[in-house]
Amino acid sequence: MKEAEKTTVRTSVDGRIRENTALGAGVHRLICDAPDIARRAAPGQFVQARNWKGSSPLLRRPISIASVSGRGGLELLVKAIGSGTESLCRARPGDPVELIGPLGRPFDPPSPDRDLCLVSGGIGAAPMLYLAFEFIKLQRKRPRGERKKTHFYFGARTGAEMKVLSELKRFADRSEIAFKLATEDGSVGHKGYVTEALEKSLDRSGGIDRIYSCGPPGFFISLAGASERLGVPAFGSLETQMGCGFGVCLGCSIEVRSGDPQKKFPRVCAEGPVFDLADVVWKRIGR
Amino acid sequence: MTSSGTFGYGEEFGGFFDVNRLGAIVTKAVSVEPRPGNPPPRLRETPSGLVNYIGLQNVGLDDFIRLKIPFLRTLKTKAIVNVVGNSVAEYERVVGALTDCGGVAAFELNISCPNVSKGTHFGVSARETAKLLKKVRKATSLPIITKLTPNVTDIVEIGRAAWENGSDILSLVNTYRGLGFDASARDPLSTLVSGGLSGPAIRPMALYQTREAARALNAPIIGMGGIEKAEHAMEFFMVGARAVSVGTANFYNPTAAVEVLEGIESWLSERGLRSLQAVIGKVNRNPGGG
Repeated sequence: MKEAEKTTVRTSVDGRIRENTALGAGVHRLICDAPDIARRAAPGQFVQARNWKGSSPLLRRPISIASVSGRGGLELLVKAIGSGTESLCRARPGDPVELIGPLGRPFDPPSPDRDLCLVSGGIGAAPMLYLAFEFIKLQRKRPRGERKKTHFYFGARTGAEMKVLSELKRFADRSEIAFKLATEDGSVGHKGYVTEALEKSLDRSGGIDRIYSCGPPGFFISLAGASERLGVPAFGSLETQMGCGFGVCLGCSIEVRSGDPQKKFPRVCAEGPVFDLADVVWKRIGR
Repeated sequence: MTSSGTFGYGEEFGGFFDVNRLGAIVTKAVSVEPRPGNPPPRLRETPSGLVNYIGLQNVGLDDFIRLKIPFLRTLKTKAIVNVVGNSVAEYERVVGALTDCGGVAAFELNISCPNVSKGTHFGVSARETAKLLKKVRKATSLPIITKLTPNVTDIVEIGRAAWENGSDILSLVNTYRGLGFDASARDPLSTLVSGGLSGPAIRPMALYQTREAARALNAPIIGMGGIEKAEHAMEFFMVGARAVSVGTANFYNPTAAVEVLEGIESWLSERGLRSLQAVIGKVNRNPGGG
């Protein structure tokens, strides 16, 4: 798996929208032309995106990268929850989009010799999809008998949100990836939270020794508990209100457990967005 | 120039443009001791603005000298160090230590940050401001800029106290008191940020106070507050500022500062003007004209 270039140089890019596909439940898949960013990106990273003029809203929106294509394409999943994300979801092919990226420290690359465990809630799927695509591509380079499997636990409120997985489902077959689905309304898969499904059915026979995750704060709090009970460390790509997104304003800090006061408030955009869930002080996370 | 707290220590924007094209950069506040800053949440977007409660997080004087001064020394543009302290002695100590180490062109005294309870007591009192300036003036021969808080009844009174006691320049405005939270969140209190408001929303208020100060005082003034584009900078020049600073706009448009600079040059040349002198204070020439 490619590691992100170790560089502090990120670029501000005038990209262009190639495609915009509605996936249901207010979620859109955007493919953007942004070769400078796509070339240097790795799973866990994000972009600061904007496609409107003026100061309403003021700030760019942080959007996780869901995958990159060899042709310089950047895939983003956006859920319309406010005026900024609504504007991005209305983008048409050919429209310009301003992007800064790739931002943040990515996930440590998963070991290629162990099964991969991904857990996500809702729109949090984006960085998990990226990890899955990259891992599966890597495994395909190995002899059939040595390939490791991906286990993707995906939870949502309702079955309407399942379409975010459709591209991955087309890409990989059942020998390569097993999906365990959960919906709060019970319309698909396990009725309840995805973390419950994880605790009940985690298959460690392939050597899973860590969990990769992404989702809203409530999801992480549940997963932090499950991870402790399972004895399997969990790493999550966190999200928070951001200012600049590239390390300058110091506005996106979260609190972690640390003996060193200078390390207590790491920036989600720079030291993060990936954190060990056991280190985060969850009571400080807004929800 | 760029405003303290919006441009790091200068290095962070190197990937976006050549910072040496700017007139100056102003560093994040430096205090004697390192400060971890406030617990989250620290920032909240508001209509055409944002409220911040960062808490003057900085590496402290020793690490500033060790880690940041070497970069500042390589700059061709001027590096102005913003200084904050809990006491007059702390300001004196930072200013004294940085005067001779090279790389520092001037100091900006942050007497106005509303986020740390001890800090406000300078900037809201003409007497405390005067006392501070008298002491700091003796600690350095480098130019001193005093950054004024707008959260006062009469910004001119504070500005005058700084100007008459050794400040070479005044900069205004710092952030306005503001509060934001998400009333629809499951736990609204967990989203609440009470702190300093900045951004385009404050520009009319910043212009008002800049004009008041420019009309009443002879001090050279650096104007700031919600500048995004060159025409906003021209507004500050016309109310009497002799220089301008771009702050919050750096967050959502990392090339804002250099775009404003180039825009000012275009604005002048489109009108056949060779210098800003023709423009500075242009709307102040009718005293009593409102």
